[in-house]
Amino acid sequence: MQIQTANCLHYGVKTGIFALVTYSGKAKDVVVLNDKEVQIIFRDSISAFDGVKKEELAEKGIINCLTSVKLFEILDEYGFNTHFISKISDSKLLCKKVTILPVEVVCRNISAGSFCRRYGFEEGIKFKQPLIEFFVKDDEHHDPLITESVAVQMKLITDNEAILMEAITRAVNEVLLKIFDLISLQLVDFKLEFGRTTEGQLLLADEISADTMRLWEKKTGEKKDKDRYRQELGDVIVHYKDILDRLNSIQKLPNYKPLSTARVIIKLRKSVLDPAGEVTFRSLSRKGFKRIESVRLGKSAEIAFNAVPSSELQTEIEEISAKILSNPLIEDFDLTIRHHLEKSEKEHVKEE
Amino acid sequence: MRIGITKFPGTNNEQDVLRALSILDVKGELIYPWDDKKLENLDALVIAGGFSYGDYLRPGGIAAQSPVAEKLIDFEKNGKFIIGICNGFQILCETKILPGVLTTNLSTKFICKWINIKTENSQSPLLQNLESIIKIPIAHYEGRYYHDSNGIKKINDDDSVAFRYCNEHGEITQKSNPNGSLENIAGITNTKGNVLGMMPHPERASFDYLGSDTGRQIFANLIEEIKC
Amino acid sequence: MLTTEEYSKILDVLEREPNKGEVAVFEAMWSEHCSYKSSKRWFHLFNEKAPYIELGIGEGAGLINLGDDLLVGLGLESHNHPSAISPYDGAATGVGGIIRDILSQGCKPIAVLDAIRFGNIEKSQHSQYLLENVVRGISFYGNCCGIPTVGGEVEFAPQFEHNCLVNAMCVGVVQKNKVVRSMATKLGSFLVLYGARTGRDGIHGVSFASKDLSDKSDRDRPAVQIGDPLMEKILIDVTLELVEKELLEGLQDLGGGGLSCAVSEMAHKGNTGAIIRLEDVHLREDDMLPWEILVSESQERMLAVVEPDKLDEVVSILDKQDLTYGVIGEVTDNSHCIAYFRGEKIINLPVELIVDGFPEPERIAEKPSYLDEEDFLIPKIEDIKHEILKLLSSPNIGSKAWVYQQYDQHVQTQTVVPAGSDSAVLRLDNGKYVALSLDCNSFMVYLDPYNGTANSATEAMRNLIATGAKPLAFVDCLNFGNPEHPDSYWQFVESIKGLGQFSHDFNIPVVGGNVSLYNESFIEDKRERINPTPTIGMIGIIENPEKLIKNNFQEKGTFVVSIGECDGNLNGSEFLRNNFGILQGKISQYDKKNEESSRKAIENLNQAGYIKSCHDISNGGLITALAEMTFKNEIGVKLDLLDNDSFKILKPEEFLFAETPSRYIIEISSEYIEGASKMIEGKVSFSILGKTITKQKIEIENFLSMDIKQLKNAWKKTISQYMEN
Repeated sequence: MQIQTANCLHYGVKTGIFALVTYSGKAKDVVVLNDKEVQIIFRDSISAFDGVKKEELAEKGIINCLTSVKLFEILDEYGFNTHFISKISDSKLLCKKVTILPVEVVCRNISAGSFCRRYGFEEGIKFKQPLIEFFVKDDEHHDPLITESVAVQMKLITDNEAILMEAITRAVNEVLLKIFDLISLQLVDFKLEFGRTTEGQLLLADEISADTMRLWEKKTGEKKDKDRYRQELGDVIVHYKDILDRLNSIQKLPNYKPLSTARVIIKLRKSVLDPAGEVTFRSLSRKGFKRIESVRLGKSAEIAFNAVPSSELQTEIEEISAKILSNPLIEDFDLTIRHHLEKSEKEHVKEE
Repeated sequence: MRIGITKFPGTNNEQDVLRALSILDVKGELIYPWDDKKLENLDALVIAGGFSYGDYLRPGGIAAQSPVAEKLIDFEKNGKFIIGICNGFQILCETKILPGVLTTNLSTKFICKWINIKTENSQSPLLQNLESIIKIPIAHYEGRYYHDSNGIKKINDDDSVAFRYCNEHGEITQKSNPNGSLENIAGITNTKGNVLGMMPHPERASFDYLGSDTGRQIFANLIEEIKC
Repeated sequence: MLTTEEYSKILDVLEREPNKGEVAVFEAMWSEHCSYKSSKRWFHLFNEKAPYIELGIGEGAGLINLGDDLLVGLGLESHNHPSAISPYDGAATGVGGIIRDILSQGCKPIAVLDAIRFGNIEKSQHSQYLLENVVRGISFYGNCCGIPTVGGEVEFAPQFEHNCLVNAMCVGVVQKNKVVRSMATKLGSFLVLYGARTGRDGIHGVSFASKDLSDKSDRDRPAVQIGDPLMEKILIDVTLELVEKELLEGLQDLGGGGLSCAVSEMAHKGNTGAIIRLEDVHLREDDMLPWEILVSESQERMLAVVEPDKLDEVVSILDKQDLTYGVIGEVTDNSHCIAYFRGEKIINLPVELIVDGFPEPERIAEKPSYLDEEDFLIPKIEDIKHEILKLLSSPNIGSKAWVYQQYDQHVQTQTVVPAGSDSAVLRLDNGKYVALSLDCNSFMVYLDPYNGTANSATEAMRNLIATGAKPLAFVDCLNFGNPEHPDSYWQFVESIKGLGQFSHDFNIPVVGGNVSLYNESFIEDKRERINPTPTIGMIGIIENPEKLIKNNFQEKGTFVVSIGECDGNLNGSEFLRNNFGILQGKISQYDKKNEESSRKAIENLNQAGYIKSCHDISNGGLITALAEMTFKNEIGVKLDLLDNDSFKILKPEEFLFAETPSRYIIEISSEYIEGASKMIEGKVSFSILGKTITKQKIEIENFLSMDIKQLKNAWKKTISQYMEN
């Protein structure tokens, strides 16, 4: 799905049907219902390589729609904010109207796809820590990889959004790893798109389905995702359907307590004298560290939240920082928020 | 007459204030952070010194978030009297009832000593009949009064400065400024004059055997005003 | 580590191998720090009795009845090793520990004093760093707890460069009927652990304190505990409420050896046993092993013995203050300390064995060779003014204001005389005053542990007398080297004998104390040992506040009189040490008779109302005492020594700088000088030195004239000049 934004106009076709505005993407259509809501219609189209290869596969729209519904519901259960409101029919969703950000995030647990093509690494390397990559949504330039700082500098996304997008993606990865592990599937990688509401809230948008992720059969390594289509392995719909069936077979969601950490650094304002910093400066100079120009001391706080990263959390931390942790008359603060890996996960990584 | 004295976890001057009031024949009552409902029935509140909540975050920073502190603004608006001493002054600044902020001493050390303060011209009833030079102890780590230049100007324009650090002759000099407070400010009032915040400890200068009783008049004024 | 001998004793008694948890408990409890295994055998030398002593050595606080059944509690403890490794936290937790000791008897803490010792502050950056942070730690903790730090002493000597000393004393008050004991007597009572949660702090802290410090000690950093004075303040407030409501059957703080120590000691004193369940201890780190929980030295924790019918009320008070607590066990009658963790038995040991069962190690005492050094020459003095200024600017003589200005001395509004005088004086709620002094002259003790210690104790006593107080009792903190070294052990034994002698001679009993050994280390293969330092904390009472004596000149035109006789002995004096680097020779002998006659003279003169001010003569001799008396009010003094016998016989430097004990300077107004002279004539050696004058000078007729300002300036900046830049 591609939606017009200020910086990013691609090949979506804008048509007016009975006063409704419709955007048409590669596999979905979006109908704007009102200021707040849109309807998303999943088509049976499938395409690859920036639309060079495309086809219609019966039932594919319905399966992807239902898979997305299932995964959005699961993510909602764990506290993530998504654009999904409700299911209208098996191929139609009612969603919140958002401005889709021109940058999408890919999270990789195992090397595959464009990552291997780009660097020449072989497929199947397990990463010690999930890799996060940002891509610009721009078919003309083949959705190029972009660094966070370029994305921010070019004003595609804000600083806060970049931090939050990464944190959310990592948290989603942790949840999805567990979910798919439960149904004997290995989550190799996935792509997330984000949207911004008029209030500035960041939401998970678009779809989450076998089209937007790689899933391998845990025991055999058999591919179950869009690579079947890309690599012409056949039985695309069979495998897509199998994923959906397995998802539907889950009785009870895995127990998982999300944790996010905010680090707040409180600094004395430049204009305010910092006697402690001065004393430190003098003592360092006395010790012979001659290159020091000045020292300013501050405080830092690390706050753990039992919640997944979100815009609301970010606002809450800002409020805490501004109103309680610092005194605005003399202090400023910087904050970062990140998804907190579960302990067991960390240890697991260490052992490897 | 009901005068409350705040007792936050870490407050440690509440008994001293009680003692100073008791020699003026007033029995104060302790007000805990969760006693916000009791405020309605009080005539005045003394926010006693100490290290509320350890002052770990910022002096007075956490106390200012307590239920009692949240009711303070109404208390002040109703014209009731508040005296904040040392940590109490810091709490009053944190709640924005008094302007400015108290920050780390220039020496970056805790300072405990007898100093002199000069009573400034002020309309506040709490400051009447005071000796012009008061010998009084200070004991704080974060007592350096700071405000931006507009803020300082406003305090001066409003005659809100209550006390300035001075030498034994009443001269306001840099040498007599123990902590680097802007303009030697040791205490201020709000514009109405019903709130007084000060870093020095009048309750410690209320007994002759401790070396001075010239601070006692502040409590006497408070009691007199409530009686009126 | 347990010795082979100790391990076989355990096997003998248990008739089995101890398990890991039990070994951990023995390691903690049989360490020198907890067991006093090298020192206990000498405690019988102390006088421990006086009619007013309510509780002597053995619990957190010694208790002294001041009349009206108002008791004062005293405690004194070292925190040397932790302070050497982490000065800020080490000193802070040292203060916290001694406060809780006092609290254990139900006392409300009313004052803290500290005796701290460091290396050469003029030259050693490390010592400056230690001083800076030790003072900061004491200040941070004591101030936050709302207990005034009213005095103490600071001493500098190269011998403390690698082993600094931090001794903290706490004073508290309690009504006699509210006293709580550190014992578990009533069967079926509950053991309630309250305060901070238990973490891995200071695991093996006691074995650490009983070990030489070496270059490698930095790695032992986890053995140092972190203090939380806010928690301590809440703990004090809550404990005093529990005491006031008489809800506690027994109480002990958790110090060295942690839970295992508190439980077994309380059971031992009460002739009972105890069962505890470690899973009911609130933990800061949930993966702690059972034995770690047993010996953890996390700060700000108390263990209470609570009778079943009072448990609800205790719990509701703890709840109200949001304080963490666990009902962790019960008092039993089987004289064993048994600990379970989730149903599994972790330890099962006879309390007698834990507390008192250690085999006394053999210790050999041998006179150190340094005491046989050859004679030395006292250099010829060219310029006496120069020597005086040099002496006054010695950090051991000079003003300690840089230190004590960082302490809140006034909180609780009872501090009548704060730090900086001979003794600190506090007002009690009944209107009486108590005077406190904390003293030791480690140089004198180094040269002669027996006489040096006894003389140090008399100095503590003179400090009280010079303030108008009647000395009542004392606590000690015995800081020495490694008792396994015969020469270090000799210093210790001699010192304790001298202290015992003093306590009997003046009928001033010991009510508590602490022994800190192993203050010695090998640094780059060189043996570094502290000066032996028996710190003495003494308390006296001033029944009538009007009899409080000031320590500085009050008026011009008054007579200045010296009490006691100068023997001119400069050995061990600050003058020889500071000005010439000489620390050698035979020091003045301890003399009971002289000391007593001087004391009686001061007491009688004060009773008669003759004394305007008084100061004892100690460090730095007569000239230092005189100078200190002039500083505060800038009142000068002029001495006329033409008829002074001592001045005629002695060399000027001997007369001015000797530190002969049993001496005071007093100020008497001219109207009383005759009566005063008559009163003491023939009873004590005294001489009228001269008069106070309007000129701000110290003058000795035909000999010396110096400006007070100049002297004061040298004296005042001595510590701050090294610390402020």
